[in-house]
Amino acid sequence: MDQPSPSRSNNPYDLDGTTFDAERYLEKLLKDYTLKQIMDTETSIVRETQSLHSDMQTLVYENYNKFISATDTIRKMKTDFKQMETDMNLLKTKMESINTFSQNITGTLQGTRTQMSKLSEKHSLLSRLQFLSSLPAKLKTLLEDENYSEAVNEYMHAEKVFKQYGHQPSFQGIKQDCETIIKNLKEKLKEDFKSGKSAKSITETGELLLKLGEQPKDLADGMLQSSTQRLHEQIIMLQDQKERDMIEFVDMGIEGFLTDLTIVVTSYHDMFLREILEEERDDFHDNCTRQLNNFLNKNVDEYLSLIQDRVESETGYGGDTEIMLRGLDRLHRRLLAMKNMYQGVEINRNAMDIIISAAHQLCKVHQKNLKDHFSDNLSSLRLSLVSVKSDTNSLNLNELVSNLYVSTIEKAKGVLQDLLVFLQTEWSFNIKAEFKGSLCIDGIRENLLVEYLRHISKLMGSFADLNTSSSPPNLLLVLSKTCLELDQNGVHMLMSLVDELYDIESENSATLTHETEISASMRETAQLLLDSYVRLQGNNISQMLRKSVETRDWLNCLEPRSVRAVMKRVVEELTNIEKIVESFYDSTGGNGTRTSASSDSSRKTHFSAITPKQQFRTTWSNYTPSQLESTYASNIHKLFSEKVEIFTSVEFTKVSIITGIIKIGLKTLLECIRLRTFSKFGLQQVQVDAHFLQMNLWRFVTDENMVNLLLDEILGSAVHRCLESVLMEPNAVEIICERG
Amino acid sequence: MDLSFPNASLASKTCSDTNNLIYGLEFQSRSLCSQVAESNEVRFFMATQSLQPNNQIHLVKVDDDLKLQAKVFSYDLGEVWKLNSSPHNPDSLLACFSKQKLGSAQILTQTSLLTLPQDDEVEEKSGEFAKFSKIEILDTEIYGNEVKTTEFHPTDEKTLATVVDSKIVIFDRTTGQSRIAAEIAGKNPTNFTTGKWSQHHQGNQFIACQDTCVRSYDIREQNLCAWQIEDAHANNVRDLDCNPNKQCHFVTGGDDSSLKVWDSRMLGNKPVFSRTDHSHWIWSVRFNTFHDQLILSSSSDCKVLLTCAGSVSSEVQSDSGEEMEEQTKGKIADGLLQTFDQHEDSVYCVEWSNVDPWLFASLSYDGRLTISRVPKQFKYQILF
Repeated sequence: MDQPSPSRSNNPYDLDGTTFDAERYLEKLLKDYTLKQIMDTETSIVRETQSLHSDMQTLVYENYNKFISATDTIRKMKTDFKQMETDMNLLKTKMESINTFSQNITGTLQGTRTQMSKLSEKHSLLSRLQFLSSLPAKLKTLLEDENYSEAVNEYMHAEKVFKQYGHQPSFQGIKQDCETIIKNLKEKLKEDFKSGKSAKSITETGELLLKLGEQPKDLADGMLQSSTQRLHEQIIMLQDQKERDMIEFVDMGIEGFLTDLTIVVTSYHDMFLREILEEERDDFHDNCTRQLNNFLNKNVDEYLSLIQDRVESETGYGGDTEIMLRGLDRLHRRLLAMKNMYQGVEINRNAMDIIISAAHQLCKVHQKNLKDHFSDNLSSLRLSLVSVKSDTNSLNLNELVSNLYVSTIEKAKGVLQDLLVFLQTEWSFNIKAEFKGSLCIDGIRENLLVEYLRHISKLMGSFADLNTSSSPPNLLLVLSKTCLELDQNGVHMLMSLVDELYDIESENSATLTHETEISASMRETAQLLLDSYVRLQGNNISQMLRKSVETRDWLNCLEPRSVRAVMKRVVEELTNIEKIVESFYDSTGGNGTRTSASSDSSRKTHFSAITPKQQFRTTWSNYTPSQLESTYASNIHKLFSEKVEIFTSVEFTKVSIITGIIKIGLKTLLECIRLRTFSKFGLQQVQVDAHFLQMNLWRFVTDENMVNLLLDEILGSAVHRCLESVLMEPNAVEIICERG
Repeated sequence: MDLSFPNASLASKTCSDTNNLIYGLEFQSRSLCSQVAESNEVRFFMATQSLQPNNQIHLVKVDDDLKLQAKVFSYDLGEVWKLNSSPHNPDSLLACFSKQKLGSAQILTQTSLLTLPQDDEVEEKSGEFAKFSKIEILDTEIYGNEVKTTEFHPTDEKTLATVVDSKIVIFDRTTGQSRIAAEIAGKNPTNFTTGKWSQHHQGNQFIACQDTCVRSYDIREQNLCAWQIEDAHANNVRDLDCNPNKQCHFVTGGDDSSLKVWDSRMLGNKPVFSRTDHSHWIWSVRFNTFHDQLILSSSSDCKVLLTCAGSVSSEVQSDSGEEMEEQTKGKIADGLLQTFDQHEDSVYCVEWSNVDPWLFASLSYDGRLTISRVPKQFKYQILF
């Protein structure tokens, strides 16, 4: 349908609108639409009107039926209500009668009820009393069953009652019974507590006792006391385990002693320290902590002392270090664990100290071994020197030196390697980390090696003291050479070995001994020994010369025909010494030519060629006829020559050594001659002897002038001591000397 | 170095730097002693050792201006080996001399007891030496040929002890008798080298050296050896001296060039103090009589050494408060204090002055006498 577009409700042209104006609608219709359209509109309106009409009819009909049924229902209800009203009235009357009845009953029952409630009260009281009266018996049975904790619980219940009614005489008997039982129980508990078998049972017992109102302080003390007792027994038991090895020993200790100790400490801690006990004074906690610390430290100390003793005997008898350390390692772990277990509990000592002291001990033992070893070496060396008898077997001596040297060095090396076991990485402890430990490592260097080197240096040096020891001269020479070797190689080798093995920074350390120090002392000893050697040999020569001067009657001797035998022996002796010394300190620098002159004949040819002899002779000529001016001559001579030091240090060269010996011998000769008085022939004998010495000694020494000067002084002194100083013709002297 | 030639006798000289006085003898010499009984002036005797019959004994005096004055006595008996002055009489002197036996080629050493002339007897004769007013020769020939020393008894003026060969002979001057106090047994015994009275034991002990041993004899009985030290030194014992202030302590020096202090109560061959500072034989050792920690030693290495042995001196043990103070104050470390090396030849003798505790004389074989002082710093250390 073509409807006008505005369909607002107030549109007067809307058929369904409320404001529809039929007139205006019609007008508009007539105006706007064609006839045809009007016609169509008309038919549609008619049709719509018809359908609306029929709808209305249906609706009316339906509603009518509903009205009719409703009316019927209302009518029925009206009759029903009437009946109900009568019923209600009836009920009302009945209720009223019930009410009156009930009131009657209540009134009659009132008296009985109050009686009932009284009775029930009495009943409950009686049942309680029955619990109390049966309590002693119950407690007894519980005690017999050793069910202490239950008994304590029961008692605790009853105790409240006793508190309330205890004053009544009827309860007093029960209370007393209970108390005696509980007293017994306490005693029994205390006994158990003291002699408790396991730490766990102690804890339980302790807790029960606490519940029973024991003084925590007394308990704590008692507990520690009894534990001390038990732990002490353990220690005694451990003491007897001598034959076990270190690991087993430590394990036993850990399993028995330390475990028990731990349990005691744990239970003590749980009992007295974890919860603050209210009824105790404020300082109770502190006291307990302190006592626990004391106790713990005391026991750990005791145990560690035991271990310490054990370690000491172990190291003393040369037990296996590795096994011992393994044991100590375990101990150390365990103690560390213990230490970390509680707060506020401190263990002062620890296994480190023992390990360190064991290291110290071992050092000492090793040091002693080293020293003994060295002493043995020395005595065997001495023995071999004495038994061989100085056959001038040069090879032999050199061998002795190298034997002594090598065995000294090797032994020390071995010990250093042995002690390295302390630094193995598998140990739980790190010895170097602790201050004391690193001191200990330094101690290996200082107390063991340095001390050892010092000791041998000193020991060897002691042979140099001629007053106290009578050593064969060759021993001195061998020792001196050994010291020299040590100085040059051995000390450095050992010191760098120890620094390397133990990773010690010795270079810049202020406290550690520097190797040069040891080397220096070795060298000093070498020098000392060599000087002693020179002195000893010099004295031997001196003795020969001295005896020869002292025993001869110089006033009554014949004209000299030959050199005295003693002079020849002196020269021989010097040759022997030279041979021995040569094997150690051979041709040193520019003196090679002299040492090569070995045969008698070549010596003589040399002799005639050298010039000092001429000078020597001219010096002598000063004395010849008149001895008056001799003092001037000798004084002037001395002015221009240096003083000859007699007993002085020598160098480590063959020539220097022999020179030293010769000096000593000649000085002795001089002093002895000054004590004698000579006849003419006596003087001439001295002249011959001196000349012989001059001929033979020059080849041993560096400075011929020194020999000449001494011989000069000898002859000068002899001239002085002569009653009739007439010297022999130099040619005659020469002839006698060459004849030998 | 100032060198004084032997012929310049009587020429005294003062060295300013070391404060030494030097005096020269014409001949070799090995005997020196201080005039013990003289208590005012520093005086030393010394004697020459010449085989010619022109020996002299010089009395050297250090005057107040620290100059040397000398008086020379001629001594015709023979060369002198040893001088000792009497502690009782300043004019009395013992000299051991040797001379050739008449009619045989043998040397005989004897002792002469000399008496100095009184001052007023001395006539000033230029060019001539003074003479002793009295010379007496002890009759030792019956005991042996070689007298080593004759010693005045420290307290008894009339008793002398002589060491002759292997015997110790006691002379009693009051009766003129002599007896052997000790004799080494054996066929060819080693002779004694020297001997000295012990300063203590009421003068009943005489200590003698023989070879390497030191023996002390109780002279009241024959051959009663009070104690002995075997092997006191490695070689000969050359000299000994008793500590005048400390009983039983004595010092020895020997051919091993070491100086040792011994306590005769603690023997067992261990000295209580020992030093080896010389480089040759020690010929003479002396305690300072006032401060016995100071020990002088002379040696054939031409040196005189001053050694301090405070640890074994009498000043350590004394309990009197006064000396205790001294000990704490004047403590010098033990050991060598000073070397005196002005000598050119072996020094056979050294002697402290008995008057000035800081002065001593040393005599070398070439006849040079040096009078030296203890260096000031040590002196002050000991005094303050």
